Amino acid sequence: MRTTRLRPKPHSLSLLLPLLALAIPAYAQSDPGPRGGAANAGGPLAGLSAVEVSAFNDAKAVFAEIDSVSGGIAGEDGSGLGPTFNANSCASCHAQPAVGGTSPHPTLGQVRRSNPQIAFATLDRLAGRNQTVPSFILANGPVREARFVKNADGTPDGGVHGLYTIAGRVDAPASCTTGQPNFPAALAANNVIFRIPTPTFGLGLVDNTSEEQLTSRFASTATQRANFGIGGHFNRNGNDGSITRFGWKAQNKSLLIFAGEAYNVEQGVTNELFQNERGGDENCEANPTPEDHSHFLNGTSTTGTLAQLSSDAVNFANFMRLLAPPATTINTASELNGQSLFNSVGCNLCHTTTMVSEESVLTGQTNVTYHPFSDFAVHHMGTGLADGVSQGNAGGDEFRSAPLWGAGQRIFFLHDGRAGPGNGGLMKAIQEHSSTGSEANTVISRFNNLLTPSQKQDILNFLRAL
Amino acid sequence: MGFAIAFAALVWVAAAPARQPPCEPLPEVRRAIDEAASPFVAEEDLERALASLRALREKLPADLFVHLRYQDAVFDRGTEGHLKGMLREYQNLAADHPGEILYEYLAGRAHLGRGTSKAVAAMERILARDPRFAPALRTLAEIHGSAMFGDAARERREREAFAALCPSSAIARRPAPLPERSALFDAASATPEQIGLALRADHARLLRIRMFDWYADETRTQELRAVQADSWKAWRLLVEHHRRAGDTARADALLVEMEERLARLRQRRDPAYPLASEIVARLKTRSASAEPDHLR
Repeated sequence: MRTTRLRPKPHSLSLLLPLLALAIPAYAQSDPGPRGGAANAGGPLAGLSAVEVSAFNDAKAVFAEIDSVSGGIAGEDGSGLGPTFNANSCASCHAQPAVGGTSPHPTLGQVRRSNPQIAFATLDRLAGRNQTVPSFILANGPVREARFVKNADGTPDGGVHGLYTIAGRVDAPASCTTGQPNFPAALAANNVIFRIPTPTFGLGLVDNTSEEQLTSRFASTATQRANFGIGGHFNRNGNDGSITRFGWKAQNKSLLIFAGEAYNVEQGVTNELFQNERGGDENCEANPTPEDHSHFLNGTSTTGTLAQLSSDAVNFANFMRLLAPPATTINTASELNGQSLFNSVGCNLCHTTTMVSEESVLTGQTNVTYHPFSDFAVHHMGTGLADGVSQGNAGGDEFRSAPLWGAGQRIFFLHDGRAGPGNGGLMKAIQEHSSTGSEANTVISRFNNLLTPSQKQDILNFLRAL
Repeated sequence: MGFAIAFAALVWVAAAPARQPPCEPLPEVRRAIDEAASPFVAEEDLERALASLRALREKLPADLFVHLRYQDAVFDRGTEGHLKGMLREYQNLAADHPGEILYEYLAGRAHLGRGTSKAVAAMERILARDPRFAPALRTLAEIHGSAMFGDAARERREREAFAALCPSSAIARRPAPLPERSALFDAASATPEQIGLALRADHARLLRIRMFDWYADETRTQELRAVQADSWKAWRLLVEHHRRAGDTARADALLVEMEERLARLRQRRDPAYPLASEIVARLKTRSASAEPDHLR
């Protein structure tokens, strides 16, 4: 059994509370911002065989591949983009602090790149056929997908509406004229919500965690959760009833399904998991479907590497499956104290610190202890965070406890990226947990009222060491 | 009024079941087809052209030549979505008219150039039922006359059988000739508008190759590489255009983007690397030695 580095320093709540009450504010707390230095993320799981590492590297290259409509634009060799899309490569949005991560920022973090979604309004467009950058996409803001809450007839929508279409691109059929969704009208009608990309580091371990592990860890905190007004439940697959665990509402069952769905929704690339073009405008359908598929031949040869013969979606899943968790840097007294306070305040009741993976076909990956800081359950998060979109049995105000591993290097927080460098970052994210109907209200109240500013700072410092 | 009566009569005649369609469209039908399709020749007007032909097909549902013109419009100009849609339409029509050879033929022909072996099988089934069904002979002659499915002996046999039934009718060349690749990219200069349209024309040509099994994988790969090479030439023209226009910021930004793409090409040993590298190097050299226009 291996463990990733984490040094718990438990405090008994009964001992801590009097200290908290007596504490005197020393300084105003603030988010230290994304941790600098090396990314310490983006590499393969420790312990993999050489063959598996090689497969990881090949799959990573596919993850970074850039798609165009037909693959005919130099440097954009992948094909199948559109008819609607939010990005042209997985790695363009899953970028910070390394490939596989999340939204980059032009001046913060390891990657230092403007929001890539700005460029798609003009990339490869005919003169005079540029599209409009939606008002909620900013150069220094988070990568976002947009979902409409309701259809025009008032029925629930909840689906992703691509920011851009291929109409007007040099490689799109000339007959394709489908324009962008009417985002200004949707915004005016308060009918659009956003999601930001979730980091993919360490997700192979989550994929390989048993239902028993998840349910028993969850059950073990039932009494404490009840005392704090925290409920929660797992989102479940409607077919086999098993726990789903990926995505902001834990709506996706597996990395492979997550990859296939994202490939179709975010880039418009149909694949063996999601075979049909979205949008229904045959004028904009340029390729046979599925556009991404298994390769029976590698060129003219019947042999090839796993990456060469696999579909892109399988490669994406393999990349994520073999991708190591982010390394923590918990070291200072403040960070260690913050780690204790994180638990004593009750954050860990949902942001569960530790999980253990089960038997794995991958070398050295059986019974790995890892620290996702999530119970992978969904919780009512109140009117402030509610987005009105139901997915599976996660309701409009329910969200999965966001895994906090890697939070130290993230720029934007919460499902829609509303918390970031301009408005308090992590501190804003913590406060947004509290609103009418949120299961986190008691914990946030404890954070606000029982901790001194320096203790709050310790928690922020701890989170930035994850 | 007179035209309306004549057209109504035409509709009645065309709608009547005919086991052996004529070799050529009736003059009135030919005229109606031309009137339906010809106003919409621009690529952007494809949907209007197809809608117009569909409307004519509603009026003349049993006229072979209206269907053929519609199918050919989709083959020649349609997207993947149109091609799939057309196949669905004709499969449904055949299902709605069980045993009617015309619709069986049209459903089989909808596979032409897409699943050509299915088209061949359909034609052979039809001819087994009716060896004198001339459209199927013509379609087989077209297929066996193509480079991809070439079979000289069979092509000659089907052509002769067709000629015996329709001596003055022509057999089309399959696939239809492709538009030429744009020559603009070797020009000394061009505007962004011209460059964009030339790129789109090249991509449209590529699309017509990618969608059909008339072309071997090797041809598709060659065309893909040729179009990718044109991207580099197009960017070269754009950088030079921006420089001439004094917009060095845009020129520089594009050059930076080209260098990033070049790095990716080098990383995976892309065959386009030498050309791309040469173009980028030349642009950078010119940038370094550039003088303001008024000093030249």
